[in-house]
Amino acid sequence: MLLILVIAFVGLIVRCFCLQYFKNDHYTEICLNQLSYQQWQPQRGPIFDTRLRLLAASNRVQNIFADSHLIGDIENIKEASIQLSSVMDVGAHIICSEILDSKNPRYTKLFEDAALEQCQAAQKIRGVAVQTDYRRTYPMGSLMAHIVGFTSKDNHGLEGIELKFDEELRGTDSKNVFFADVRRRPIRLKEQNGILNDGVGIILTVDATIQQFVREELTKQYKEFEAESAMAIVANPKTGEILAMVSVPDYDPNNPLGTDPNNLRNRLVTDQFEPGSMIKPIVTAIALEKGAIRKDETIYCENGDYFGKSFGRINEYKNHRFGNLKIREILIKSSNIGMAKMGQKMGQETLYEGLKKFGFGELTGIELPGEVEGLLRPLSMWSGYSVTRIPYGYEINVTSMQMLRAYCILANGGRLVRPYLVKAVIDNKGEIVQMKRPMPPVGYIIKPEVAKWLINDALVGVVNERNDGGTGWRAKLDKWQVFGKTGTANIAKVGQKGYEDNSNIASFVAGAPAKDPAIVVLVSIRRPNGKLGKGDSGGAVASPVAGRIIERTLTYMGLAPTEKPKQVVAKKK
Amino acid sequence: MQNFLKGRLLAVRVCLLAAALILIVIGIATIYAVGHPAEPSPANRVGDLAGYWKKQFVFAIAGLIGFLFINAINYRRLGEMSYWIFAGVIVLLILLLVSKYVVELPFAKPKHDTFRWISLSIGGFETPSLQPSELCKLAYIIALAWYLRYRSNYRRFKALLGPFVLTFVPMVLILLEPDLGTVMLMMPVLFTMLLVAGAKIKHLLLIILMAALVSPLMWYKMQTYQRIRISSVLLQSERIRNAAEKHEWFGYLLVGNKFTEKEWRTNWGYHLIRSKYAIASGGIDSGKGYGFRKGPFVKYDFLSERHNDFIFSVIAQQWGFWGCLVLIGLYVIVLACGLEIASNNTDPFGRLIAVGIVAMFVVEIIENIGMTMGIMPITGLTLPFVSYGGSSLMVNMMAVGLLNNVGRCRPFSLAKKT
Repeated sequence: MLLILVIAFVGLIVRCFCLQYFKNDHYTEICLNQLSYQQWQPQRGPIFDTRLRLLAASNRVQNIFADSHLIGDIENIKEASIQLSSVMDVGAHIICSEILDSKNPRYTKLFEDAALEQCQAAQKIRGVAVQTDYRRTYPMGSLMAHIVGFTSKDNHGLEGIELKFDEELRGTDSKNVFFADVRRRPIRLKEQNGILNDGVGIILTVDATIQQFVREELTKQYKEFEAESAMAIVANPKTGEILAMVSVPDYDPNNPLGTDPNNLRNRLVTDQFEPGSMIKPIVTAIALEKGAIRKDETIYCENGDYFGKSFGRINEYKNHRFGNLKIREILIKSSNIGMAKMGQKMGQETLYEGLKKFGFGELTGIELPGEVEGLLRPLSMWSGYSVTRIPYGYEINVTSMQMLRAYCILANGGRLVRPYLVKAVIDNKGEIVQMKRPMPPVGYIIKPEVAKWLINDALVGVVNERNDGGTGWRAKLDKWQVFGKTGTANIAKVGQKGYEDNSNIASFVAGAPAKDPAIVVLVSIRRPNGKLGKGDSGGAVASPVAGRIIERTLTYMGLAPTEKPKQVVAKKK
Repeated sequence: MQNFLKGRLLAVRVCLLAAALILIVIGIATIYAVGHPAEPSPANRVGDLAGYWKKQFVFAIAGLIGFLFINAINYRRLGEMSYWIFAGVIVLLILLLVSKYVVELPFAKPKHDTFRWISLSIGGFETPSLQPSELCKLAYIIALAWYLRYRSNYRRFKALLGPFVLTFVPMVLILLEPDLGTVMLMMPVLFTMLLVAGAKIKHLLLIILMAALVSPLMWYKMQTYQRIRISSVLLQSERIRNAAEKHEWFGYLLVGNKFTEKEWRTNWGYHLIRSKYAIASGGIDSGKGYGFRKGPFVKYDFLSERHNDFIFSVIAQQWGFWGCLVLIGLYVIVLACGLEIASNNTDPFGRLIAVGIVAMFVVEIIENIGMTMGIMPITGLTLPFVSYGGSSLMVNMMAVGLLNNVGRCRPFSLAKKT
């Protein structure tokens, strides 16, 4: 008996000794291995328009969640669900199944953006707690959808500026590792990872008011013509600031998943197409610049049927038959054959180099994700057709943004323009961290005289000379002189040779006032329904939109009406 | 009452009382330490355990009064009352179960889902709660000793029925509360007392064999958390853990659930792992420990019940191996004194009481210290004199008082000292 007692006590002492002397180091080392983590989420930076109207903001919200381990067994969960159902106004069976089916039994988010009373009531229930989180909201809804983009639930930008400036907007989070006690309360900092920094704010060049005009006008036309999609941009040609940028159909960034994924992309930068006639003034500018033609030259337009072995047959739009046309008339009447001949005159090297200089086949560098380069084939891949087709807008793919930039260059007197969307970056105190000034013009793409002549003579004529075949007469305004160029491009069949019948992209690119352009507008409507009997050409569909946009925008900008310039027709005799 | 020191075996009894009082002081000091660490930790809420040492001090005073009270009368007169005392305790236990199963009584409210405490609320003032199962230990020992004082009550196998009935009634009642620790204490006490009284060893072995045959059934009925407490002794071995994780049936056998290493580390084995860490890290500074009110397990709440069931871990942390040695030494003194008293009294009743109390202490000490080091299953048994708790301290002091009482009385019988 006594022996057992002695053995037991010696056993205790030996065990104690073993633990303390032989395993001491081992245990001391892992003594403090219970860790707890604390993560602080930064507030995502806001996005403003150029007049500091809020486009996107992250607000603090209270979320209610449940930890089923803490609630207890199934009976407790049922009881908690019944209590929660009165708090949240959701059926108890729904809450109960949500908790039970949760992937993570220790965290089931039950309710987002709860009110204060709800939080207080929910917190009284065992195993239910309230957590603060940020939620991204877009007060302007779908108005700015394609510019601003949207974020995922976990605060990652997925589209638009949100994606392009994701890192800056997101800020840096900090995750600290602590030693923790039995209740997982932090005791001492073990390591600190990162410092909490809220995201910076971004001010855009876009003006929500102009955006609203553009969207209104574009949507009206898009609906009226039952088009597949439509897009429009307004830019300041002097600086390259994008003032508005609309693509319809659009989506609500507050609920991006509720829409067709096709609508999520910003077609202005992600979609490339054959521009058709819109490119003619650019090609003309290149030809004039390089001296391949003169302003007052006349080109014979073959009475609407131009045929050659190396380049096939070229006809005019709607089978017009033109004879001798001056350069400006080629543009006003939008003669394909005249353009083809111009291309032949300057040769493919000049054409290629010129288009390169205007930025085709290259990214514009606009601060939006998913921009494509378009397609300007390298010279080695040009066929005999190319030099005659590219001048009137085929065999070349461009994005609307590239086209806009090319016209901005014309409107800016031939100086290089870089379109941009982000004006400044501000910190969370509202102070400007970084001004994103436009790149100063580094040189002339074309001579100012050439650019001035094209705008003030040829492109003004497109708008003014309705009787003389000017295709853009619907954009004519009383207060300001508009210049512009229509484009009606066939859509190439997908995966096959040739072009689709009866469907086209109707575009109009315009600017005003012609003497000193303040804005340049591009409107492009894809597949307007021609069977409605209202026409489907760029002049019929797109130019009225551009006209109204210019009128409303210039009025809004407070630009004094310029005196109506003398009729070009009268001057010319 | 003042003459509790008078009588035989004065030196032994003084040693006994002194050792018990030192242990109480160690207990209060440790409870003070965990409530008031040398460096306060911002993580702990102020006053987590802060006031407990004062309460324990009051309990100690109450325990001393209990000690004196027990010495006021001759222990043999207690024997005459023993069945009545025992019945009273049984009534208290039944009241608890009434509260659990029939209707919740206002003075027996559940704590941690168990019905172990009775506390009266007089005019909004809570009286210190009483744990009938603690009282039951002492009442049981006295009653059993009283019953076994006649040889005919244990020499035959059939006669063993009496002691076992006496044991099973409170045991089942306490098991239902549930309070597994106290129940596990009663069997060893019974066997020791039977053995000392002179029951036949083969009878006892037969009973043990029967119990061993029934035990798989008990194991089958056990809940996961109950199995874990016992199987954690085995599960400390990495090899067994691997096997349990690999073979599902083995894991089910051990824990009644799917065994995973993660669950072991974060939940099932958490307490044991922490407790072992606490003891092991007390080995710093060549076994002197961190020092009074120092050390991470004192400062931080790494170990729940560190003022109570797991107080030994904190003592080991603070005073290291030498502290543990002193503590165990003091217990050895208490036990040795108790055995000395037993051997010096030829009255079977007094002797059985002394042996029963010593057996109770032995089981409590070995079980409690063993479980903090992972060589015993984890139960709710407290460390006598040291752990926080009023009922426990009170009963232990009364037990010491009883030993003192037995020790100072002259042997009743005239038989020769063996």
